[in-house]
Amino acid sequence: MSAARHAGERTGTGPATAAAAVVALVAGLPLLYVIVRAAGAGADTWGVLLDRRVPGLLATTLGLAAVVCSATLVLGAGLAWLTVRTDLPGRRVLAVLCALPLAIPPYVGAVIYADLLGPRGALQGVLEPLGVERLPSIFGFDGAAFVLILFTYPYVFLLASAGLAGLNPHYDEAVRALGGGPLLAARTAARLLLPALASGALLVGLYVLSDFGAVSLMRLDTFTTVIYAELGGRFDPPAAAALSSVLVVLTLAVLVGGLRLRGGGRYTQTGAGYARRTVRPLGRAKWPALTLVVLVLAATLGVPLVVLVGWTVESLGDQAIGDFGGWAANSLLVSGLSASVAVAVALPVAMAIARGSRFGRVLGALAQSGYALPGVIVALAAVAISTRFFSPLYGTLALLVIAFVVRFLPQAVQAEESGLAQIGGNLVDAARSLGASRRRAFAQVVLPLLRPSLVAAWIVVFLTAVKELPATLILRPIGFDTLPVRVWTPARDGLYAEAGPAALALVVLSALPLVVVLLSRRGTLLA
Amino acid sequence: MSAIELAGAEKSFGAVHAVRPTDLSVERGELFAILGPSGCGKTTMLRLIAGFEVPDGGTIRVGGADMAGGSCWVPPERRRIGMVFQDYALFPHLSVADNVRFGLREGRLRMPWRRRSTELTGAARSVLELVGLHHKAERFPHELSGGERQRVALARALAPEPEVVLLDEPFSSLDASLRAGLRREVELILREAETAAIFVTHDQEEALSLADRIAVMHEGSVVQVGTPQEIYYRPRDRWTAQFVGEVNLVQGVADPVGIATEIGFFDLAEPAGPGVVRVAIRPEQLELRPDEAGNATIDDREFRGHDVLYRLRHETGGVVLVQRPSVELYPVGTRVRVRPGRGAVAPLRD
Repeated sequence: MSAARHAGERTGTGPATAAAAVVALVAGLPLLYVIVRAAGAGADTWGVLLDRRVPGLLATTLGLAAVVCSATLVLGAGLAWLTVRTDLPGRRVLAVLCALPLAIPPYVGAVIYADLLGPRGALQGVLEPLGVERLPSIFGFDGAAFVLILFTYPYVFLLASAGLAGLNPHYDEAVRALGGGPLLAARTAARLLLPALASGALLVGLYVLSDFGAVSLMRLDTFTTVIYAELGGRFDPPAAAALSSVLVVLTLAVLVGGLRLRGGGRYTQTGAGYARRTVRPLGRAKWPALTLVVLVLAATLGVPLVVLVGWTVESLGDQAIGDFGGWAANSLLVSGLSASVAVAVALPVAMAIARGSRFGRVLGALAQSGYALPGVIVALAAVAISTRFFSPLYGTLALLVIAFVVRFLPQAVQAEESGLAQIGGNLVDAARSLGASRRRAFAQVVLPLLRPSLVAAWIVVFLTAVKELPATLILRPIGFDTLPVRVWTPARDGLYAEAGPAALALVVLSALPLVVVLLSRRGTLLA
Repeated sequence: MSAIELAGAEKSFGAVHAVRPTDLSVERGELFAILGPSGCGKTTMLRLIAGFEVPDGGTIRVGGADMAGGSCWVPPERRRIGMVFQDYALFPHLSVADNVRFGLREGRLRMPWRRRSTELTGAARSVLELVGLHHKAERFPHELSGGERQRVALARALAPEPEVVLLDEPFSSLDASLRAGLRREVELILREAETAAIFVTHDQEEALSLADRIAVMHEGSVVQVGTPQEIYYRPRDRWTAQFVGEVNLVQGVADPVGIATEIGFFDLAEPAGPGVVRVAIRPEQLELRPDEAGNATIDDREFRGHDVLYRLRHETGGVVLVQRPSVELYPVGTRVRVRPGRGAVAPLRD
């Protein structure tokens, strides 16, 4: 019957959907691998792991996530309030500066603070004449938490700023008019900001769970570092897969919990945002508050930049600088390739999701499973699957690019999907009623209108990929050094200053587009 | 040969019967309205004709050629149908000229990366002149007013000389003050283009004033097809009678000449009965004059500028609506005599 034969007219089952299915399948492979391998790990492996490793790792990893989330909430929301809703001197400039640490990967921060606060570091050098002979060790839980807090709080800061800027100031006045004190007013504002704060904490939490660089440099064992060790020195894939499955479950739990907290707390504001924004005078607290903000900025921006520039200047004459161009070129190559491939393969997936069928949503969820997979796990799956089924692929640039694409596909899909949602189905229908085939409607209507979203998706994936560390360490072809690798490898051996040029290049590279985005549309990068 | 012919066409979405089996034909050059409340299936009907939806059954013919039905399926781009969308769906990245050219041969050959040409020629020029916007050919959609966007959408749909133009709620996104003027303008453009046009609307005034014929839709079915006069004065059932305007539904006893009701004796527009039948009497089909010994009292009145609507309490207890020119203005509480005015009334089938 015709209806069945032409069902494609509505559901759009065609080459695009087939492509989306292939992409989703490849993107879902790591998750599938972890599940299958963990299930097949055997009672012995599991028994040993559950007895000896898992409880400790759970405590460390969850504890780290909890501490970092709480601290970044306080720090991020506090800074956001000070720069958005008070008369803090220079608050517009400070607001941009407070977001900038986002451009410093936490492992770069770890390199800097391991050197400054570590044994025989700069701080000890300053304190020694005063009789301090030993500082408490920077390595371990405290150091990892310290570094992660300093360099992930901008997630909370940006979302809280956007939330505060959009918050109707009349709520504050309404609470006061109804007889509530300033405390109640603050609590009301916190409730209204809950969705923004939850989103920020979720991003921080997911980051902490997936972080490898900062914790490894701070010599703290978490799931990611142990999985990396099982893959490297000890090479025990079943154990690595079993641990990975625990981490995946953990990540999914955080993701679902975070989304629920955010979704359950979504409120509707009656009356769109008012243009007038009330600013609270800080009075005598003005200078202490400014000092506090400046101290935070010194720790997150000033010190890192001074140290990195210093190291770079020191090593200017070295022959290492000669190799530097090669590392940068490798970084640009692998990130650029990954961004281009991700943007291309995300398109059919985004189209399948935008079409709104159940099949499309399933494909979309599968294609975005990389969101719940730390880089270590994607790399683990890539190694295992390629050595088993596609051995020529192992150790090639192609495999690294594939792993990057799987890991960063969600960002590309989300950017393109929101772009498609704005285009709307009527434009395509209009094109077809004017005699355009599906292909022509796509080429001449959808694609030109989607171009800004494609560019945005490319930039986001590129910026994330250029900082990626664990998958690069595991999957890179022999001799293929990128900037993150050249930061981590010497730092791992305690040669912190050698990491300088590569780290500075990474920071500059990530900061440039961030500054542009922040100055043009403040705070929309993460929204 | 009809421009559009539907025979038993139907469409369901899951358990919802959006369009029940429908027969319909629209002639060349005809301005045809599909009138119904939101959710009655009128937009689905339009999308079936355009080819954006595949019918579950029945056949659809455009210009005498089969488009859908049996093993036949012609995709929307080969149906020779123009469509004006509710939000106009103008291509935001193309100028007015390029929007209009999109459906023309020159537009088809145009590559996306080529610079847009500033020259307006041939069909694109004549159709933009038809809608009076040739001087805005190089503008972009966001630079136009709502009314201008609508005319560009119409020009774009007309440019490839389609068999029929479909318009989905064409006036709903315009300001009320603009609507009446644009309605007339669109009518003139469509008449000059000599294309058949089907437009969908929930606004009975729009359908009555614009269309040559109207199909009234209710819950997925076409309940009546006729000229505006037929739909208004001879509605087939109670629902249609009430949907297209204010009405008095009155029972009476029919005989071959007319029908006797409590308000008086009316001519029948078509034979009915014999026996008890229900008829639809429009408020303007009644007359009233002040009379202390009358049969009704003015309970309420609604002054509407050009006319006034009286709500009367009849001596039998019923409510009677009467519409008079607003020069016949009487205060609430006036005792009046209401009686049949001009025009025959129609028996209802339910």
